[in-house]
Amino acid sequence: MQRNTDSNTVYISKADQALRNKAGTGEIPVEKIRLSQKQIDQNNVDFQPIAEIYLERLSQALQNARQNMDAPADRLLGALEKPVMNLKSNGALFGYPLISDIATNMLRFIETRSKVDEDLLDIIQLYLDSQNIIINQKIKGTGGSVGLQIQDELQNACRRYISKLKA
Amino acid sequence: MALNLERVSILIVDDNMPTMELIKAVLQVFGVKNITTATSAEEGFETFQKKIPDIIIIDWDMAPVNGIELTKKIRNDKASVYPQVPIIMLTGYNSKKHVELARDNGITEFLTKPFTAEDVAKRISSVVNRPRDFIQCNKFVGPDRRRRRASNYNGPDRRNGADKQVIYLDVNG
Repeated sequence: MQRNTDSNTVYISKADQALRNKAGTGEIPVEKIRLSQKQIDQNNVDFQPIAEIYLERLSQALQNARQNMDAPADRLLGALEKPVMNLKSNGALFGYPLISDIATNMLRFIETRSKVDEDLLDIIQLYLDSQNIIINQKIKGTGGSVGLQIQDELQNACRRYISKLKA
Repeated sequence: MALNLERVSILIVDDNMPTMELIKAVLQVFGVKNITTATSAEEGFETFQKKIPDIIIIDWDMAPVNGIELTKKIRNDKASVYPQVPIIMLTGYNSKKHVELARDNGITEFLTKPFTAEDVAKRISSVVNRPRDFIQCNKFVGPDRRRRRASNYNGPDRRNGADKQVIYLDVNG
């Protein structure tokens, strides 16, 4: 039930036990967790068309950022962040852990930026190109040595950018 | 002891069908029999009002209304049938600022994508095993954010200050 919340009143409802009364207490059995992980691992969703949507959105966000460098940085960065976040979220769920691994690093990199410049956009373009290669060549799993090489190159580019900013 | 989720009802609100189907499949294996789904925040709120689920799993990144806005509506709308419902926020964001934003808007648990079955199990177990007090004041409506009590805390007591009236309620009858 909603309460009138004037500035001086705090309502504290004791923890609702209804769910505990229905389900009891304890954990979900390990065997059920193992079986459900199998459902995740063996799903046959075709990730390619999903990924293409996010890659296209990232491409548009990049193009928009290049054309509107004077726009508020948080707005530009937010638009760049979102498709990267979606690639990170979905890649590993649908057979492309390499997409998620690389996107995790790229997302962290973008989230810690406060301004947008050409060098930053070049790195995100490099990221976009690498993701396009992974999707077009259907590089599933970790991608082996090619996957490692892509990750290294992007991480080095991010490190160089951060060092340059600090210099 | 094992949880028995057969009588627990869960609503999943996500506009990404493949992810929604995956979560549904995981919950079914966990033994949840009563699962309803919605593909937008608007439909999610309508379904919530009709079904009154025990737990809601909401994806953050939905359009035009996102998961945070839906959470606010469930927690604050005068017509909301169950503002205290445990809400698990599903998202690919995991920076501190995103976690804090979700927490300050009243979510109960945060589930980061990509998730494993174990991640989902932990969040479900947490909302069942460790229900939290529910706070309603002018600045915040949601489960108690103070999960840890610092023994050496000596800052202002905003909840029990002299100018505050604190009313304790017991929803368990």
